Amino acid sequence: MKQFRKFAMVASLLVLSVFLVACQDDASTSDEDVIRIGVLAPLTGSAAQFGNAVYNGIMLYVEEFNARGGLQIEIISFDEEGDPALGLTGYHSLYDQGVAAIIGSVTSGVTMAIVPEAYLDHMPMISASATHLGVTYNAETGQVFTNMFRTAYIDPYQGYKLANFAFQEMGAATAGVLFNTGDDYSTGLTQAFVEQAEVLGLEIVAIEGFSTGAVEFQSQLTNIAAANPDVLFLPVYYEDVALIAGQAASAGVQSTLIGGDGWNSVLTIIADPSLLEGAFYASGYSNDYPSERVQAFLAAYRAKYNADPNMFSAQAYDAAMVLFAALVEVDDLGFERASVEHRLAIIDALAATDIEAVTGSITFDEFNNPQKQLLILEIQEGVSTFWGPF
Amino acid sequence: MKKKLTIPMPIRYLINFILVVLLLIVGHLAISTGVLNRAQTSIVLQAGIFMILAVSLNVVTGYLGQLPLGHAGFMAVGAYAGAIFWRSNLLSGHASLIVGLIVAGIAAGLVGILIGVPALRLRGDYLAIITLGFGEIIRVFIINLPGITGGTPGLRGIPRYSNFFVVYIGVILTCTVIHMVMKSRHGRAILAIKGNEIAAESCGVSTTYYKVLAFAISASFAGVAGALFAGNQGILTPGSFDFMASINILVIVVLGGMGSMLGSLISAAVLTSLPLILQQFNEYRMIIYSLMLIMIMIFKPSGLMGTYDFSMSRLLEKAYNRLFRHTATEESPPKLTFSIAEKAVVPKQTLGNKPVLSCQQLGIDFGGLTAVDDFNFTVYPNKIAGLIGPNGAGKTTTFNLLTKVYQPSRGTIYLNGQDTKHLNTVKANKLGIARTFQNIRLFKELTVLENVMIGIHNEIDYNLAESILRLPHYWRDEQTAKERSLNLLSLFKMESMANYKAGSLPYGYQRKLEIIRALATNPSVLLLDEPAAGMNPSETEELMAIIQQIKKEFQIAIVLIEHDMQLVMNICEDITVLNYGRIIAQGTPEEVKNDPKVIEAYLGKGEGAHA
Repeated sequence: MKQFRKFAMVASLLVLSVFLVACQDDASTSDEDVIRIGVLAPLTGSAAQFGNAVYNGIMLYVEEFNARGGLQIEIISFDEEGDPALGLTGYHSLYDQGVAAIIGSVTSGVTMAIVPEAYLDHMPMISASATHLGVTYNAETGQVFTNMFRTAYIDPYQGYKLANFAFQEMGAATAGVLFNTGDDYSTGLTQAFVEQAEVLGLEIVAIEGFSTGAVEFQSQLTNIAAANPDVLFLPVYYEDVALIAGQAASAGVQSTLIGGDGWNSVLTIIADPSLLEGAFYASGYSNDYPSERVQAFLAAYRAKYNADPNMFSAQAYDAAMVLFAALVEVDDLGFERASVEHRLAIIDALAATDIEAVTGSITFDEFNNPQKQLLILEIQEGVSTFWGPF
Repeated sequence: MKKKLTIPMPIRYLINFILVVLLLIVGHLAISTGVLNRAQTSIVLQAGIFMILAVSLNVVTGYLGQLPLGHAGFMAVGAYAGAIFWRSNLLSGHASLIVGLIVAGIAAGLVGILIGVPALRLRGDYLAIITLGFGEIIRVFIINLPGITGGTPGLRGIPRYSNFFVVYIGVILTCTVIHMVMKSRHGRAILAIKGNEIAAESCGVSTTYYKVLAFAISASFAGVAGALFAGNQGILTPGSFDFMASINILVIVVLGGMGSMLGSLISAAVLTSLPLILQQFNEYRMIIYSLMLIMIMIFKPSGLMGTYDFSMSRLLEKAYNRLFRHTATEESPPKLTFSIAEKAVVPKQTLGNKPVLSCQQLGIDFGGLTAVDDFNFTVYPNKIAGLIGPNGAGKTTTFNLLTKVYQPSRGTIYLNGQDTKHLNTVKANKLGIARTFQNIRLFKELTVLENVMIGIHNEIDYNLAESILRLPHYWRDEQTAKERSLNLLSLFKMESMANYKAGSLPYGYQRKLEIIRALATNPSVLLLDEPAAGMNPSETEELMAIIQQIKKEFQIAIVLIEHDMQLVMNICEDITVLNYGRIIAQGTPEEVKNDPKVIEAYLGKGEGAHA
């Protein structure tokens, strides 16, 4: 038995080390006309769903871009697992490998850990999905991280737009809010929504919170039902939307539900879609948007992945588009690739972006946040239908 | 046979110090010259932080033997305390860094005490759940104090103090302090609690105090690690300190081997660098990672290093002895540096002729069951008393009452003339009562010498700071304790076994060692609970001699529970017979032997002692 154990241990160690060695040298050799670009995303872990959607969107554009000939892009990806500490290591690892710019990261938390470091290195970064205000701007010190861009609109912007939408388009006079007190995204949207509602004169009659992981919302929903607002704003992610929608009906909530882009893919998990009938939500992207670009992207994505893209894929596709356009623009200026001068030039080119992308026309404001429209989706007969841009 | 080389302590410390400085220089050069690239440097920093976390958690899991699941909570307290201090800009530069780390350590330590006091009354899975709950509470507090902690978005713009030098010094200080504590009477007490809590108390080790102490030490270093974590990342979000973070730290400790500092260090380094090393395997990475964990647990269930700890000096000694002194093959016992005759072996008790132990109308009820009742009993110094009775008569319960493991429901116990009414086991021991146990309760993982030295715990009194700083008081006391322990051992011809693990001793020696450990606490009454159980006739013979010897040398009172009638009748001067919790006879062996009640209840009709 002891002999066997020893043997098994040595054997498994051998297998492991062979595996390690075999996989060691598959990094591509560098080529003159190739620019290395880093992708930082949580490909595993709790945020993997977003990470992989983003990764797919980027890789689709990379394939198209490289197929056009000329400047070639080599992607080096790092899986940060949704962990800020590993994200930092990942950033350094990409830096060590000589990337000229980075697309990433996916979540605000990880991105915010990396930005101050990347700022010191003048590393151009563009995120497809980090929506926290603080990603590009430190409100405490007033510092703008000029190297950081994004193709996702920020949380406050969504809250602000949705308050406008509820008031102007839905004709609501009163609103309730049920939000996750332990989540940045949720608190960010709530704050902006409430502020704008005050400006508009949209009365907030009930505001209730819950903490991450809650599955029971009866008491909050009962309070909301008592206040009976015209609209109930749910700035939460789709798992929570599905849970809340199920309990809202039984609690007697009559309000029309509205939400932000966290609602994306809610219909794939809710047992009874009729619970969300007539609800509105905002998205940065909709497969139903009858624009030529969207339909071309949709077709290409389906062809490559045999699946439908979501907002993250589309915004990631756009992020790659914006970044590569900047790369092309500075390519004939003769900088050594991934040098500080090169990176600074890329940053300048990014700041001057004016591009027609899949999710709308993108320009950046003084905080490097995209100025673009919101797409409103309405749930009708169990499917998300395109209501229109707002 | 030539003498084996042993490196004296000051030189050992010097060797370690030189190693530490060398490693610091090597590390610094590797980073500043770019031998380690930035990703590797960042891994080194994170590994360092997790080393501190693992080593500190190991104090409670490995040394104290408890299972807390909220270590990330303490880390969070330290992280936020340090970060808030640094951001307040009260001080600048190095002073700010150092004070911030101290603030972090103290804050986390205080929270550790706050949580430890109630939590450590529980043990095992209860403690695990409680600490898990506390860890979450800390996180929820942080989320809900946005004015101080920044709430969910957290704090940013934290000065990035955590460079290689700072983290390295942090790791070294953590390891040093914890090592110094563990290799002192305090550390022995903590290990004793892990070994056997009741036995530790009977040796005068205050288990509550040492549990809380271990908890506080563990928490405050976790706090320091938290501050370094904050200073490394530059931002803090409460999400970093969730339940999984605690589990991750625990995984490091378990993999490294609970109780091994070296194991924690290696395992922290390996597990922290794996995500980077395995990055290129993409989807296979998680499988490899999990497989490695499973393999280690299958092939080495005690963790990578078990409880082994590394000592450079020991390695040097071994290498030297291998190379130059082929003769030395077996571990030789420590030599006595003095002759027993020269020094008084035992402080002669001046107990006089007053009773050392007397109880009146002692009784205890367990619910409706009266286990012991109306127990009147007096023992004088230099006497051996026997307590006999059929199984279930209440003999061990009586011992538990006398040593205050149970608080009596009625009656009084006077120890050396003092009422023990409000005393616990530890205080009763300090007043002069010591015992052995029916089922041997040794600290099995510790050496024979250490077992005896735990008995001397209260006789030496250097404090925590003195042990960490290795002040003269520490050396003096340790020397005394060691000498006295070896003396006691040699008195019973066990000094050659001083370095053996107690658990590895043959049964008879374990019994003997338990008696020696009890004697080490300097009792005036020694309670022996079935010392001859499981012994063969020749061992019993020897035991009898030993008990006589104790009486002669120490002149203390000995109370004996025993089923071996020959032993009892031969050595006891006074015998008390219990049945159903009540005394049915009391007197000399002759009287008891002939008491009809005893014969009927216990010895059987018409028969004498069943020799």
